[in-house]
Amino acid sequence: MKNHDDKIDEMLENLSPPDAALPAAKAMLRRELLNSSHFKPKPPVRVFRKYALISVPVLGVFLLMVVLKFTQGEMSAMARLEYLESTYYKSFISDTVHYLKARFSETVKTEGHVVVEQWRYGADKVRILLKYQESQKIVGHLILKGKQAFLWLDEDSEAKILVTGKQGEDCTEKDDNTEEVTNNAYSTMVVPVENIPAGKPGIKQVVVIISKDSIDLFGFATSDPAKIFSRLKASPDLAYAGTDTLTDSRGKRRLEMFERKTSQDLRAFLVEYNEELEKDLEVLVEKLLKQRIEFHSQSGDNLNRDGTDAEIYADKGGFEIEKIDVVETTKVDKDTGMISSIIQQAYRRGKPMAKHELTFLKEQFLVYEPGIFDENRFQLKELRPGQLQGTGAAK
Amino acid sequence: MDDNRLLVERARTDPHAFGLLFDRHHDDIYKYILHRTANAELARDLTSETFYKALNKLWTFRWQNVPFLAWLYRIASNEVNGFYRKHKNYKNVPLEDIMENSGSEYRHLKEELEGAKEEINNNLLFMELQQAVSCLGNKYQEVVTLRFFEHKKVKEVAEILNKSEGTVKSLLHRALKQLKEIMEAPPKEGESL
Repeated sequence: MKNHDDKIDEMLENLSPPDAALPAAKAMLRRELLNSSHFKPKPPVRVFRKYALISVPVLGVFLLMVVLKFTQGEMSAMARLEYLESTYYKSFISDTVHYLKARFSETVKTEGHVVVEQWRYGADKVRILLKYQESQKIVGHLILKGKQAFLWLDEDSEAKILVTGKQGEDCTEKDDNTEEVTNNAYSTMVVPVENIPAGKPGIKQVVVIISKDSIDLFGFATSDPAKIFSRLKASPDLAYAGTDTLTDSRGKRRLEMFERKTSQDLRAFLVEYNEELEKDLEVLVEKLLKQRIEFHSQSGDNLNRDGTDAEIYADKGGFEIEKIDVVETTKVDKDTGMISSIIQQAYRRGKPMAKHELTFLKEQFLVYEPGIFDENRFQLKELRPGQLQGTGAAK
Repeated sequence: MDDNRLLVERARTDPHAFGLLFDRHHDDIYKYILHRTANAELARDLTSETFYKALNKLWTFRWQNVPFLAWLYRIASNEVNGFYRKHKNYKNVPLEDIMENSGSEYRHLKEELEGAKEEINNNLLFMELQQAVSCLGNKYQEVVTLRFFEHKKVKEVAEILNKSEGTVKSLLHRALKQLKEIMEAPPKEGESL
């Protein structure tokens, strides 16, 4: 063997290993995999013959137990969710445009509810349309194509509240043993509290909900039911919350409910301030999002004066902040696996304070047409890199 | 947005979707196994095992900040490690003993394999380094192959192997030290590259 000097690093860095590709073998393997029994539905006769060997009473009891568990609530939340998810995917049609229509719970004076429509094709084409449900007036229009983004936004619209979601920066989390860099995006929703206690003229209250995969406009643009399922499955505190029924244009539907509560990924703050400070609220919300801090609610004094940037800002700015509870409920159609709604309800000492809800109205698979994602057709303007973030302040 | 997510979910029941996943990731996995084994035929077989296992285990895959490709790499690594555990005295089996069918497709496969073998054997530097790397323990082989033969960044290697970046750096440092000792050691009698 030749003697090598100490430049082994250099040898490895500059090495061009062989490709030695085997395209015919690759094609054969692909064919075998796609034609494997994994994807073939078993003919009923063969299934019958196979299971006829199993003791029928044993099988019958087993199936009965599964049904009973599902109906009596003994099946775990995760098992239920996975079952619904697999039901949902059975409706998928590949190589089509996935269309979703949803409605935000917030209403805008004289305009009513805001609806959002989403068209998604493959991994890199998304179109989001935000408009008033009654008048059909367009408030916002967004197209994402690969790394390009095109946007039109009605800056004067009061529906701007629904585009206030700010995407948090990448967060680095460390503990004592490992250093991990997580690429989690957090967003905020700012929801007005409607019934402010009497005796507080000129005082406004809002609830700031900070969550991963927010359901504001920009959160919705990068999300879809598949991602929502994935997020729920990754929630360590996911709980089954029973059933509900809904009667709409599609008839009476049975819904399964899943909950997650205040956690690292979902938290809410009650913010009280004089209405003259409205313009400063956005800065406070940004600081809350950036730090995802913990507030300690103490009677008479909600702020730790040696605290974080957001706490200091709130103290100087005349804002009162209190950490409150939030429960997010996702309702899923039991028969189709389609997501019916996502509700984020904030509570203060058990009393409901504010609610933000996204109701899914329609879901379809459409034939692809390039015009669906044509920014020129809708006269949208291209955004600069990094400009794709929520703008505006709560109204 | 990880576009593999929806594709992976679909691939559980849709062969077209699984085919797309296969097209995206097959070459990376094949090359990794090839660079671990320096044997095109073995790499072909273990790649096949990897994808069959991936297909059967797709229902168990969970998105937890680990890309789908990292999961495939782990299966592939386990296949290579497992193979050498069972076949400590593995030697190449002549092609003629395997290729029973003399049809045109198999002739084409045989020619393809011959070409791949030649390409590997002609890359003398790779053969020399790979032979030295194969003397290392499995965990060192994994990090060295991913880092230098697959040209992955330390962060990517850590993701694939489910280790911290610090651990990967430490393993690389020790691996390189061992490699240096292996390559500088005088050859045993009768041994040649």
